[in-house]
Amino acid sequence: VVALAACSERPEARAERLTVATMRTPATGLFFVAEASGCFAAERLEIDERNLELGRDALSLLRENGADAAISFETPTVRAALLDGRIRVLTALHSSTRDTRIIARRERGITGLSALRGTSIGLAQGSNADFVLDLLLRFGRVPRSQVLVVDLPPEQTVAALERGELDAAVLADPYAARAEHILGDRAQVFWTELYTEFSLLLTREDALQTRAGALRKLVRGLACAERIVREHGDEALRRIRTRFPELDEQELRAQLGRVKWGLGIDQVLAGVLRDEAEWLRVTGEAKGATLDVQRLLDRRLLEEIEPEAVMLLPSRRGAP
Amino acid sequence: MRSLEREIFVPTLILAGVIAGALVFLGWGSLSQSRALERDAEAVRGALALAVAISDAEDDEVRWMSSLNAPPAAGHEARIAEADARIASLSREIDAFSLAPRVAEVWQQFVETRAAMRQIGGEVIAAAQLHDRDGMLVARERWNLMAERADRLLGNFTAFHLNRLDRTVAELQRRRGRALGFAAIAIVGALLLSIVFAVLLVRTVVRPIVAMANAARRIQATGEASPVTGADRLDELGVLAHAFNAMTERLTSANATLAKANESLGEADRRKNQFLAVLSHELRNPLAPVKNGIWILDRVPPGSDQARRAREVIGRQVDHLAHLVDDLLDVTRITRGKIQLQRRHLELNELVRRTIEDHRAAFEEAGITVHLEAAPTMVFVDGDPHRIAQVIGNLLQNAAKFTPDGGQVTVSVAVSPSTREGVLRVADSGSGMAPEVVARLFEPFMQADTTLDRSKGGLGLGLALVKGLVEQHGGSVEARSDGVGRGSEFTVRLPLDVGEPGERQRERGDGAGVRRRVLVIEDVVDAADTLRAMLELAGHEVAVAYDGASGLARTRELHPEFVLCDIGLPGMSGYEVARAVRADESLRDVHLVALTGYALPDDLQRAAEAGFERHLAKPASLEALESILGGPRATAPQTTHA
Repeated sequence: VVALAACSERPEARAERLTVATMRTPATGLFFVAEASGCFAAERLEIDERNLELGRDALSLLRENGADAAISFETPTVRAALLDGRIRVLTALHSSTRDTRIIARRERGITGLSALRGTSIGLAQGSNADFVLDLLLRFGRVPRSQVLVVDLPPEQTVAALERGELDAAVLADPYAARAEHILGDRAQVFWTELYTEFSLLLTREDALQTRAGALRKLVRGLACAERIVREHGDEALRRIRTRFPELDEQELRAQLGRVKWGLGIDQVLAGVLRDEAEWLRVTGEAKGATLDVQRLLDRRLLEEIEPEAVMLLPSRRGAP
Repeated sequence: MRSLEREIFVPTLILAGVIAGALVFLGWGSLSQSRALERDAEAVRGALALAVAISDAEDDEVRWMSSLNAPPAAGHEARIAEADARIASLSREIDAFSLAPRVAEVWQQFVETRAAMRQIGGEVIAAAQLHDRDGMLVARERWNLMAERADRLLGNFTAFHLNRLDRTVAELQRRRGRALGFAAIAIVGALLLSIVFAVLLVRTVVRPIVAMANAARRIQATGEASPVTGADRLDELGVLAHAFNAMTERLTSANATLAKANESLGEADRRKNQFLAVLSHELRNPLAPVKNGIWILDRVPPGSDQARRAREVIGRQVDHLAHLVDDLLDVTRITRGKIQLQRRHLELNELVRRTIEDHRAAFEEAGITVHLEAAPTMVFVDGDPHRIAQVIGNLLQNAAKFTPDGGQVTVSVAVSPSTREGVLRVADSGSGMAPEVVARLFEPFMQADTTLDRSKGGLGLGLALVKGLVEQHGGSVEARSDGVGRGSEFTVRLPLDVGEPGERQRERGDGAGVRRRVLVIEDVVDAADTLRAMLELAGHEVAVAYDGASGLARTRELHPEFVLCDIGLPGMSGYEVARAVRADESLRDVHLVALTGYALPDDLQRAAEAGFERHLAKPASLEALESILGGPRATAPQTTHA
């Protein structure tokens, strides 16, 4: 009887539940494609999604044990990792050099980066916008002290820019696109190929230990979504449209044109994380904390599921 | 039937085929996989070598770009351009590679980054040439960041191939482990299969053969049958075991038969030697008185009492000798089934009475009382009176021989209504017999008395003749004794003849008193002359010839009624004479009678084939001669004894 009972109730038949904190941006749309395409369901994974405005907030939820996994951009990740050694990167979800950008009011004479001197710039502090602003100010040879940085969430930043309370804003899509749309011809956009933005799938070390099976299914589901995107891009776009009802298809397609979806852990990501950790150290935010990038990047699950997506050189002795 | 060859060969072939197929499959798979891995490894090696070379060139480029001043030193720009050209050249080599999609994207980004670097590098050099140091520094910072990005992308490219190399190594290790596992399984499997096959071979082939070998050794050692198992198998070994068992059974049976025959032969040889000794003794005994009698006859006047007694002695001893020889011939005839009975309807009481009377003198001489208990009614049997009398006589002589002085012999005749037999019993109060003697009493040459003096005499053929003759009549004989010293009893049973006396009962025409014309052909002159004298004394007209040719001539000349012809004649044998007479139509009514010492059944056959009608064994008595000369002609030679 026991044997029959054991046979009749297979462990795989029970779906696993996983709480994932997400951010509402087309850049991280690979997750939405996976969910909409039934990739998680196929893995017998039931997702409890906590959709937040910023990755920073998703990270906070993860750190507070409110979620088993979170999606965030790399800058909040570096900040969180410097504070919390439990954070682990399972994979990147996208990379982009044009998603996060500065949208300035041209009518206020901002036609070049050097013109940002003395302007008020809105952004969500602690996000990658902060890093992008610093980089572009450096190229414009404008000291950060000579601009007024206004810490606002993206939604309020767009509104403040629209009302003229800000001269410029550092935003990522869809907020950046909305700001550009609002300003129209008055918008001056700055971006650089020298910055690569990443959205990352994160978890905690303890969750990796206790929920390894569910996290494996999560990564497998995302790999499934990547295959769908590669093979049926239009269909993938159609499936995530309901997530962004305020965007028409053309706008969504334009926004997605600025990002490259794809799983991966590579040298570029590791370099970006090191660069941002160094930036935080230089700006004094890190306060002596060091980032162990090799430890932060947990390649095991991705290597198991999509080995070619891992392009990480072996760590050099003593390297952070 | 199953074939052992097929039983062993087919599974072995299948097993070998499966193993060979598996090995070919594994080998082919391993070979093709190895080739694929080799190709991968070669591609990875090439990609990594190029990546390292690009990285070196990038390092040179960074060094020269970092050391650029405003204005640039002589040849500095050329160094940067040279490094860029080297990188471009190496990049073109990588462009020719067939890259996996992910790494192809990386490579594309690298190429784009290099293009951006070239553009920014141009800005750096332009600023330096314009002595715009600040502009040069800003542009160079961007160039450095771009170079770092290019370096990271090249790192991705390198990492991809290193990881691929790792995976190839891991795959090789996995396959090596799997190959080792397969090899171990194959070895263990082959070992197990070999053991199973060996066990099967031992069970199905070797053990049965060993069992047969052991059985053969046992048969060799003991000579006893030793059957092997497995005869019920349906293959060649089953056939072999079956044949082996049948062969050993036949062999042991033949051995037993041979042993029995050997024993019989030994016994026969022993008895033959004993018989020859007895025969020698019995034949010599009468010769002494005969020789003595002749010596006396030569020295006393004829007609004197001494001469008369001497003739009587000689006559008795010659009769005795003839009786011995007749017994021998009778035994031979009976043994070969060639004896001819002259059956007739005869009354047993009377025959017994007459025979007792014939032997009474011997009993009286021995002081033995003979008592006859005749049947109350006449007892008719169908028999040869001469032979039945011979049976009764032998039994009486036997009783006389073994009954001491003052003893009794009782002869009774009775009828057994239940078996419809006439029963003749001869009981004596004599020495009796041990049971083992009783059991073999009727065998030829069997004698209870084996002492050297042989006081009872005889050849030991009397009872064998009794048995043979009785059985020839369809009857039986048995002996009984309560033991040594307690007398013996012999019982003869003969089938009753209840029918009317017919032709058999009629007396033959008695030739006594008929004068016959007889020709005697005999090369031994004494024998011929004495025979002529005897026949002339009996009233016949007799002529003599002393060889075959003259005998034939005399036959044609005299045309006798009877020709008494010896067989062993010089020049022309008796058979040739007979054939010549039979070939002569004018001599058809001549009766040919063979008179010879060749009296065995084969001799009778040859005589008949030559044309003889009757056959007389030497020495022939006058009574036997008269019975022929006076009787009808036979259609086949018949032997008559004196």
